[in-house]
Amino acid sequence: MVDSDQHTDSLVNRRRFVKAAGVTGVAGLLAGCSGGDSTTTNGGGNGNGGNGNGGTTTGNQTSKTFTLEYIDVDGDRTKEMFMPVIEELNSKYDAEISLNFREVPYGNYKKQLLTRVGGGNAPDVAAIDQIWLGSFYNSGKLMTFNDIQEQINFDDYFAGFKEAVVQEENIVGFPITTDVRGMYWNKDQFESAGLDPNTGPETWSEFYDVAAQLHDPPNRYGTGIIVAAGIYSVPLFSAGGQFLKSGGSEPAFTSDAGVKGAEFIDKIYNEEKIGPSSPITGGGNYPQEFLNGTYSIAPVYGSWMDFFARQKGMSNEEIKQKYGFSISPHPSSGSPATMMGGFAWSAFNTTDRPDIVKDFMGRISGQEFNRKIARETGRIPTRKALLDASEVWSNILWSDTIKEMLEYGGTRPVNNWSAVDEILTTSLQEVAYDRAEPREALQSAADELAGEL
Amino acid sequence: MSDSEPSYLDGFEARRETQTELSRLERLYDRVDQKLPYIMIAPVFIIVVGLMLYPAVWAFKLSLYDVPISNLDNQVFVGFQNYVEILMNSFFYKVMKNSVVFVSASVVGQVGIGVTLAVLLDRGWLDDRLARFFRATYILPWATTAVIVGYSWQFLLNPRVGLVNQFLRALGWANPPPWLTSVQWAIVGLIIMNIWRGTPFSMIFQTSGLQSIQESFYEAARVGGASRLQTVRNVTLPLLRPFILMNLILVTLFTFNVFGMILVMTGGGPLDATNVLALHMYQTAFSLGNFGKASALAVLLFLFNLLTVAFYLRVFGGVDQAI
Amino acid sequence: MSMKQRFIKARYYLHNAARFAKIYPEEALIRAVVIFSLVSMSVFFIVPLYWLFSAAFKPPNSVGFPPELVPSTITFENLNHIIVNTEFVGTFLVNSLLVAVGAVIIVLAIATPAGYAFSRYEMKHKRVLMVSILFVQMIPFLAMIIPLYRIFAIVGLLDTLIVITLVSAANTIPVATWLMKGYFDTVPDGLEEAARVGGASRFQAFRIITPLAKPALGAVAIYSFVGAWNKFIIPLTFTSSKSKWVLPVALYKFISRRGVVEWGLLGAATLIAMLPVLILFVVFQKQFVAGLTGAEYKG
Repeated sequence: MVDSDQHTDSLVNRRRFVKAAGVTGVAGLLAGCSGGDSTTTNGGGNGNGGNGNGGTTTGNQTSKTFTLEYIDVDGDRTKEMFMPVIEELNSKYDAEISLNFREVPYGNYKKQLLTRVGGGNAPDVAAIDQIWLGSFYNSGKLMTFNDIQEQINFDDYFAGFKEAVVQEENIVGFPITTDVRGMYWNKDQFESAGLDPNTGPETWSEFYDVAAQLHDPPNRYGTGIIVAAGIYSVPLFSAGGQFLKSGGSEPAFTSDAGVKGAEFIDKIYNEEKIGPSSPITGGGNYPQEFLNGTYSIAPVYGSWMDFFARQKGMSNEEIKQKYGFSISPHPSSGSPATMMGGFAWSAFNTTDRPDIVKDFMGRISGQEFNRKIARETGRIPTRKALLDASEVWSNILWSDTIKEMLEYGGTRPVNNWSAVDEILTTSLQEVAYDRAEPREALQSAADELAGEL
Repeated sequence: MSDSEPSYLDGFEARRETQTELSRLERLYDRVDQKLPYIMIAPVFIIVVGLMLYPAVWAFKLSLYDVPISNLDNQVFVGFQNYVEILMNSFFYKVMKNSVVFVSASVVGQVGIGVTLAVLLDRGWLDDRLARFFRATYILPWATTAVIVGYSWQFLLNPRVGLVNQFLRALGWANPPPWLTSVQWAIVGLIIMNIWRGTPFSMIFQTSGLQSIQESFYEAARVGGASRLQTVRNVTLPLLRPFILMNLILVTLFTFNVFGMILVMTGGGPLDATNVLALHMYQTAFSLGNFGKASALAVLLFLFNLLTVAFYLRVFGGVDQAI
Repeated sequence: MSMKQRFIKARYYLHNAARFAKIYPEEALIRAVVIFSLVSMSVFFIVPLYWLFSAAFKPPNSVGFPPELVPSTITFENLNHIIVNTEFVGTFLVNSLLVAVGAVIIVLAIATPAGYAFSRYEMKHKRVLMVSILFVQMIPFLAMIIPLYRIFAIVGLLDTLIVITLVSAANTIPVATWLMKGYFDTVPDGLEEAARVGGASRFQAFRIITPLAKPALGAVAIYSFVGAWNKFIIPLTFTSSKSKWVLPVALYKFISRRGVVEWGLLGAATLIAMLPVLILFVVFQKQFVAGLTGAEYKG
């Protein structure tokens, strides 16, 4: 096409052109803006940046206002519960303090929080699953609370939790509520097989026997266990084993006890064949399958099973009528054990008002607030002092069993859990799929893990 | 222009006239108009550079460092160590193999089924209304978010009660595969889901490609006495080549990046049988928190994408086919 | 039509088909195979969605093992709950619409002129430029997430719908530019030539020709709309307030943290989330199909 020099268009058209050019310009500017500014980011990124904390604390322009940003997985521990605390703070500090509560679904929680912390935009306070604490501690941005240890009576927490929230002798979080792993069984199926529906098997050999009697594939499997490092912790602990040696830099699951724990899984799927034909590797359908009678016994599962039962429309009474719950079976030479998890409250030291945040943390982690949280949410408290608080326990199913279990509770090695979980789960799956013998599988996991710790 | 007799000279004079009266603004307009092609493509490049290339270059830089994702400022330069570690580990090759299986099967399935359906629904085979109805049903999965629908697929593929196995049992397959919990079959389950979700795009893409084929080609084939199948083989498919090429490239690039759906359906298991490169990258970054290594994996994935596209271009005869 | 008439008609069809099969057995076989495969593909594409949507009409908590294909009782409780008791329609749907429409506008405003310029003008390094656009499409998005997050944190755009809109648009622009270029290639340039000879500027020529590319504009619009509508990782990463959630993020809420799903609510919510896209498909199917490659001018 030949370029023409003719200009016969009206001025109106030209104006339109200028306008259109303007719009394009603005769009370009916007893109250019983010592009341009990012150059500065990069500079800061190399140096010490990251404390910018741009978007979070909108009220930071003047020190008179402060918005405390709190994120959590669900609305249970919501804003309403914190409002009285915020009001207390408001009257204490000469600042207008408000709470910004954000809810992030669990499946995305760790990723989003890591992204935020890494991107220099950490919230002030967050509820963090204990098994993630290590990842966040590595950022060097977690606030430590050794100074208010006395004030909140840190010693009152059960031993397992104290271990979980301490990293390199620093207290980096306070346990909120917990859950325990135990054994569930289907009472109707026990009854129809001529077994006592009110007592579950106590030792492994009893368990294998009972499961074999109940096994009736493909309608019903005697048992089924999720093959994952977290679930493995219970047979491991009950055989007297540990994940890591003290100090946390060396794997300990290759011990005889560790091998014994893995054999429990091996037995279910390969030797005794009392489980489904292919091992369960994801937890997605498991609780519903159990509740629907697919597995007669769930030897290790979290105490949140009753949540799913209620979701199916069952009342607490019906649940207790249909299912039994007790501590998981243990080897006859070992002792009963369970594993406890749960969330902890942590704060980030990138906040604009560390004084207020620390005060806030102290208040929400005190015994009375703990009592309130456990009572309102119907979850298991983490403090010894609350063992006798009947108003807390009245909402919790199988409360006596659980109280007993808390004494036996162990926790996972939280500072390195991601790596342990990833590597060990694969090895345990090799055992379950009969690709490897327990000892060699655990050994190869230990070798691989040694490089990561 | 003017209502007078349009003679060459008149026009010329008129032009002269206006040119002397050019205001500053008009001269600017003129200059801008000269450069218009470049101005028109500039925003694309600003967006692409600002929002894609720049972050990518940054990620490349990070691949040479040891960086925890939770603290990007804590960087230690390690050179190519991340790459060496990845390439020395046999796990990478396992993941790579899974990726190749997943991507090639998905791509062949999506483009193959997409082309077939598009051809079958093309003019001449079916009543137009019927064709439109079928097309409407085929397009539905595209309107969903893969990650969310992944959950219902997980349920559909349940070995005992899932619809898929109920159907297979009804067909007489007494022991259908346990799909997502089986080391051999899990990836097949994922491929089926991915084909389900991705085929609509290919089908639409090819349908539009078919519509660009001129009727005269078909007429020529008819006059020549070609059968339906012959027409498809000798007329339709050759003319569809550029669309198939573009389709292959796009679907491959999309599929190499799929991980969310796999994360919810199998989490990469069992025994890492469904762990693909993109998922491995995700877990390295967000589960293990090693952003340097994850970035190195991203660079490798990028190179792999590049190789694949180069391969397609070679097979199909150069970049001009696509441009 | 009475039952009898229908029956007669069906018998007539069958009879006709049988005669056709006798005369042209090969052709009839092909036809049967074609119809069969088309129908089975329909089943393949629809059943998973049907199952999910039927859960929406089952009473809450009744999606059991094995899942029933035909709900024994139909209830609107789930839909009602989603619409009345949640912010699904009031907030999340609106957010999704804002993002998707915003992305469509940005994509069209940027990809149309670029596609046009690539199609019509000779410029230096055109091939390199075009290929380089496709090049960035090969960069794994995951790698860009953290740097992008950092950029937006500095600019102060985090947790806004603008970010989702911008990033979604940026993701679509390369392919959209290619599609627009491909379409403009099929539009004869006679009209512009006439305009240019008549004294129009390049820009005016572009404005004259753009309306002719309507089908392509429609197709690219739907392509970018659907793309932005179903984006999951982007909004999940760059927004955190509930008031900024878009539909896919909100849907995630019905999947508990143990991976167990509230099927009834998820089905109902997914149905609502799909509705706008379905409407777009049904209304614009013809245009969409034609628009991707310029059928109107070639056909």
